[in-house]
Amino acid sequence: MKIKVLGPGCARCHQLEKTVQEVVKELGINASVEAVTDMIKIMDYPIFSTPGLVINEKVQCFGRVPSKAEVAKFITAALSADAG
Amino acid sequence: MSFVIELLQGGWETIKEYLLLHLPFVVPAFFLAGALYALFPKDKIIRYLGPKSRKNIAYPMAVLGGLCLAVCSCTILPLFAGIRKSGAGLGPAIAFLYTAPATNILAIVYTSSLIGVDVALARIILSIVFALVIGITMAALLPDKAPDGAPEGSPASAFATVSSVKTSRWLWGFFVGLLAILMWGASPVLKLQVKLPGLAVLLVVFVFIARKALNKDSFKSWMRETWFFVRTIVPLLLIGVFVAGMLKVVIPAEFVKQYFGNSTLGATLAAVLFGTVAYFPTLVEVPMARLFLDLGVGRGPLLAYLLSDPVISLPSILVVRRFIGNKRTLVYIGLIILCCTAAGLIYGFIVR
Repeated sequence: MKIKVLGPGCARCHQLEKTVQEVVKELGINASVEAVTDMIKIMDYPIFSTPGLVINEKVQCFGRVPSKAEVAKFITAALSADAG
Repeated sequence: MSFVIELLQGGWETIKEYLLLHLPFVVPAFFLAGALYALFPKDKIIRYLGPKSRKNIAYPMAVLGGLCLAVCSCTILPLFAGIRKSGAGLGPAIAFLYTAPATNILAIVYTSSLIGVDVALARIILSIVFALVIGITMAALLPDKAPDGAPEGSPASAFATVSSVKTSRWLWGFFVGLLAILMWGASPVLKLQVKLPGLAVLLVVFVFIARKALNKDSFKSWMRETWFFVRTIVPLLLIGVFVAGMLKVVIPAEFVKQYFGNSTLGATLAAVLFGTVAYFPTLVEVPMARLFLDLGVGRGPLLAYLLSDPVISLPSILVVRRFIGNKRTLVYIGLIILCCTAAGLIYGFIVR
C-alpha cells in the first residue's frame, strides 16, 4: 500500500503525516508513507486544499486533518479494496 | 557594542509599537480566519467554478472564493489548480489567484490597525477590482485553446461531486456577527465611550448566535484551526517585526524621505518592483510597510507596495508558470505592475 501525504510543510501537513505513521504502525500493515511537498506534484491530484491524503493514488480526503480513527478507516477500507 | 544594544532596543521598541499595541484587533481576526477555514461552506462557491458556469457568475464567485476560502496560503495554489483544470477558464482562475493572497483577512485587519483604515480599504477594494480586470484582460488577450469541458479525471469530477450541504441560517448569522465585531472594533470614527458598550452588546448577541450555529465538533474545529493559524503565523511575525525595528535604527530616514516621500512615478514603480521581488511570510508585509511609512515613504508608493507584495513571490510564480505557461505568466506580472503603479500614483495624488 502506498500512502502519500500531500502538503508543502505547514503544521497541518506534518500533523497528518504523524497521524498516518502512527496508524500504520498500530495496524501493523505493510505501507509506505511518502510526504509530497513539491507544489507542482501536489497540484496534479484533484484536491482543493492541502493537506491531502492519498492511498494507492486515490484521494481520500483533503483540506483538513482527519482524526486517527478516520485515517484508520480509510486505510482498512483500502486494504479490503485491495484484497477484494 | 552600544550599536548592538541600540539594534536590540530598536527591535524591542518596535515590537511594542507595531505588534503589542495592535493585538486587540489582530486576535479577533485570527478567530475569523479560523472560522472561515473550518466552517465556511466551500461547496457553495466551488460549485459555481466548474466547466458549465457562465462567465458573469464565475468571476464574482472566484473573487468571493479568494475572500472567503483561501485564508491560508497553502490553499491558494491547489484551489487555483482545481479551478484551472476544471474548465471554468483562465479568467476566473486568475481572478481567484490574485484575490486570494491580496485580500487575506488577517493582513487587511492588521493593515487597518497598523497603517490606517484608508489604506486597508483601498487595499481590499482595489485588489478586487484588479483581480477582475487582470482576469478578464488575460482571458481576452491569451485565451485558452482548451477543448470544451474538462478532461477526464480532473477536478471537474471533484467539482461535480461537491454536494450541497444545507447551511443553517445561523451559520451565516455567525459569520456576519463575527465580521460586525471586527469592523466595529476597527472603526476609527467611533469614540471609545460608544465603542466599548456597543462591543459588549455585539458580543452578547454573537455568543447567542454562535451557540445556535455550532455544535461541539464545529466549535472544536474552529478553535483548532484558529490555534493552527496563531501557531504558524505569530512566531514569524515576531521575528519580522523585530527585524523591522532593527532596520529602523540602521536605515537613514532622510534618504528615504527624499526619494520616496512624494508620489512620483519613480518612487511608486520602485515600491511595486520591491514588492514583486520581496518575499515575506504572511502578515510580515504589514509591519514592513509601517516601517517604510515611519521612515518617510509617501502613502501612494506605500499602497503600491502593499498591493503588489502579497501577490507575487518567486515560489508561487514558478508553480503558476507550470499551469499557464511562460507567456501568460509574464503578462500576469506585467499587468500587476501596471495596476499597482497606477493605483499608487492615483492614491498619492488624492491623498496629497
